[in-house]
Amino acid sequence: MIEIEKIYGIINEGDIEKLKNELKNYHPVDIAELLDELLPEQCITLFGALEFDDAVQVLEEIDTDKRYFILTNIDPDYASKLISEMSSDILADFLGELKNGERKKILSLMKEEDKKELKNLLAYDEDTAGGRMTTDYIAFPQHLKAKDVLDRLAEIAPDAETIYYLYVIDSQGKLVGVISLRDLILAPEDAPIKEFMKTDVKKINVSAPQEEAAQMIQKYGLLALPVVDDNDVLLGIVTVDDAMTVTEEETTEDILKFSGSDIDKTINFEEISPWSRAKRRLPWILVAIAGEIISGRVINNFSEALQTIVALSFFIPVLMDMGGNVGTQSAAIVIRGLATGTLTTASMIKNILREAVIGAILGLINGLVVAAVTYVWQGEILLGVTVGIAMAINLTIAAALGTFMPLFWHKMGRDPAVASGPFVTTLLDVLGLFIYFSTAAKILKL
Amino acid sequence: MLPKKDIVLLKHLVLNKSEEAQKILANLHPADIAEILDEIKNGNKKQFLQMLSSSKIAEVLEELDPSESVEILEELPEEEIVKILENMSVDEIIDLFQEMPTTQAEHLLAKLPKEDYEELKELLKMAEDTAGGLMTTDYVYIFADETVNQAIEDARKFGQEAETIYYLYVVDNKKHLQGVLSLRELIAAPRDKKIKDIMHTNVISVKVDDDQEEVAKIISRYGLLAVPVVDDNNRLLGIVTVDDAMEVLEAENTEDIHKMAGITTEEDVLLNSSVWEASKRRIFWLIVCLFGDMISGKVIDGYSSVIQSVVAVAFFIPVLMATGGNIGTQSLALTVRGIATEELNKKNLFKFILGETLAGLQLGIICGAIISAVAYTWQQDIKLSAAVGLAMCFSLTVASLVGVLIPLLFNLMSIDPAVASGPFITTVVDIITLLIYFTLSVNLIEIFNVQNSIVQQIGVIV
Repeated sequence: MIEIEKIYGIINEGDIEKLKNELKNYHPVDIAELLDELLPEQCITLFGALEFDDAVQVLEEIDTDKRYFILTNIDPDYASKLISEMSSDILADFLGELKNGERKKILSLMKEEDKKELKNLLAYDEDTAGGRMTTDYIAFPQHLKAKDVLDRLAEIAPDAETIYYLYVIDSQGKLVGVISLRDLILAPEDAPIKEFMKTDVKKINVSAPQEEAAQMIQKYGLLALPVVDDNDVLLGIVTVDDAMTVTEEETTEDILKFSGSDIDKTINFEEISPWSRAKRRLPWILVAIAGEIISGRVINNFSEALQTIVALSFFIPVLMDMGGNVGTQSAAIVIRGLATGTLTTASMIKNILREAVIGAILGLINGLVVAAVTYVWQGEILLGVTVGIAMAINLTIAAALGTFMPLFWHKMGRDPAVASGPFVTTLLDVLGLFIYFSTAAKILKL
Repeated sequence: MLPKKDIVLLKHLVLNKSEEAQKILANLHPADIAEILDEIKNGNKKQFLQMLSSSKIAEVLEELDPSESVEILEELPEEEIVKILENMSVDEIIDLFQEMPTTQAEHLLAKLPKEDYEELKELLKMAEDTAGGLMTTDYVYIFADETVNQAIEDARKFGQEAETIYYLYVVDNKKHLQGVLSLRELIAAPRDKKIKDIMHTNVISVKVDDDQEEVAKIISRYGLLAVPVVDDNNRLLGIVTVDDAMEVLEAENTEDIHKMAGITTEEDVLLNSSVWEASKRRIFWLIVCLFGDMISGKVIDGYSSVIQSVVAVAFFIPVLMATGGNIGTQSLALTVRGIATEELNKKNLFKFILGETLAGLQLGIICGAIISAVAYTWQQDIKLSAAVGLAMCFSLTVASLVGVLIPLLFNLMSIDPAVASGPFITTVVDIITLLIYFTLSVNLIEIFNVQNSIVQQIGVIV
């Protein structure tokens, strides 16, 4: 970890040499974090003291505003050199986030060929493999020998995002094979790469969702995954560190959507405006309110029963909540199962039945407990039976419905996490209350 | 990922002992074979495995959950198990042994080659969820005064066995970690340079007893392919690779989501375990909530005279409870995730709490206005409509605050914040909401009654 005070001191002393030496001890990721703590002019001083390679990495780590500020406040030639070394996927995201005027300014610092490459990258949707990939990969024609490749690598190694996988392409740019640097090192020097390359290459289409790329990288334990177009032409790669970012972002998205917040992948905790926070959460809350008014109507229909035995109302909370809880549990398991690829819609019915059985077990246990509590509290055996039976039925339905909803959304091609929480809970409340009061009417003969 | 129909076809081929199946299987990625294995019934798994070589089985088992692997191994004869284990990497063997009964693990351990035996014994002592439990000892090390050429030779020689050869760790003769060099830098360097002149001396490393989640975060943060694991004296013990880190992250994410839904689970085994096992993991929080909800029932009990005189008061219990629960869970989700990704920190904490409370207030005002309009239209009762609207407003503000504060408090007390599950928050919020609602109802109805009687009295006087 960085000693911030020490760096402050050195910057204030203005001793650039000392600063340079001190910074050599730190990882660019930590330096990027440090920049957040500094005043704008201090940032420029510190940035100027960085070695070129570190400066590029620091630029790749910091946020859009800071990156723009630094690039437009240092020597334009140096800025231009830095930009051309930055990884293309980060650069594409960066340009995407800038305002028009700002973008022009950054573009004017870029070389023509880089601009063209970026324009292509920007054309892909953010959430796809194309939007995540970088074009800084290494590919070779298949006629080379191991030694030729190694020699060429020595020259280009510093530039590429990863050199651990080398892709082999034919004359049309089609992906025909892959060799790992490890295989290359271990191979006899005069072996043609055609002989030891792997031809069964794991790859992903440019328009596939980014989660799929992340899942494949994880499943096959890859360091990078090649991205191809419909004709198998190699366009770029998605690297393992990007896959990790995608996994984290998707989890955040799932958790928030699950609770009914419509929110971006990263949470902006500095976002102070409560209104913009409230706005993201309001839509599903309103849907839920509309649903719960129906719950109220259900109670209304049974209001005579309620007036006869007011104690019926004491168990509304427990029945509503427990149904919602079990439904949410089931939905959480399904959503996570779909996200990690351990669950598919193929065995949908089997899964719903399985969950219903679990729901029934939970229903029986909780039904018995709540019936006993009711009896002890109210001294009415029939009331206890009513609450217990309603609980058992509710939880069984809750588990089945909690499993069904996200699977259903998924099958319809929608995001299964969207509001499964509030949606399932509301539906269950309406159903649960109806079951409760109907059971009461039957058993207590109201 | 394999299409479903291919899996079915393969299953068929395998069960008919077709030679074609053997050929196909030999060319499949172990992860895909693991997927097929999942689809096969327990009794038939043995037959399926007989079509694979021991080394292939070893690779397949590395793709599975350790508990599943152990189940599969139990179907095989002992000499076959030993052969498979010899083909597995050290960290994977450890995972398996940790799933087995101790006697069985020790028995198998004794059958393994001597050099593995010592190493495994050391590793088995380390806690499962620490860097030590996650690391592998199959890495490549080099010495500072070697030349680049010699180092490349070393990488070639030891590379076959090693988990990764992309990072070479520089040690002294007592294995103290002195530096690191990537294979990429090695290749780009002039062949006669000394390693000590090009190596990085600021090595990012983890301690052997660091929590595995910390290790995964460090790998992710610095974009590493592997991180070295050292003891207190900076001696190199092993490495943790990025694929293991991804698995840890994914498992932790799953755990967080499940915990938030009130499920106590350590791994993503819920989909495969028996229904009993699955129920057991869910029952704890349900019972806690059941008794919590009984407190809500007691609150209603305390105000039952209100319901008896104005039964419509009961109609709005669901909407108030549910909306409070929803808002509380939303704030909880934000907070738990913020803590997990460390995006929520000391610097923005106060702003965040304030922002959430204000957001809750705003949602309360909007939802309160809506629900009180609905209540008035429905019941034509201004007192009730005011009580419902105000209760909604207060309840949502409090719900938001509870959803933020409880996980933060847990975190402060070093309890996993995800334990503050949605069901738990909902139960707490419900009790508070009902208290607010009934207190308001009673008071408003009384105030209006007093006003009415004043009006009446005035009327009488006039």
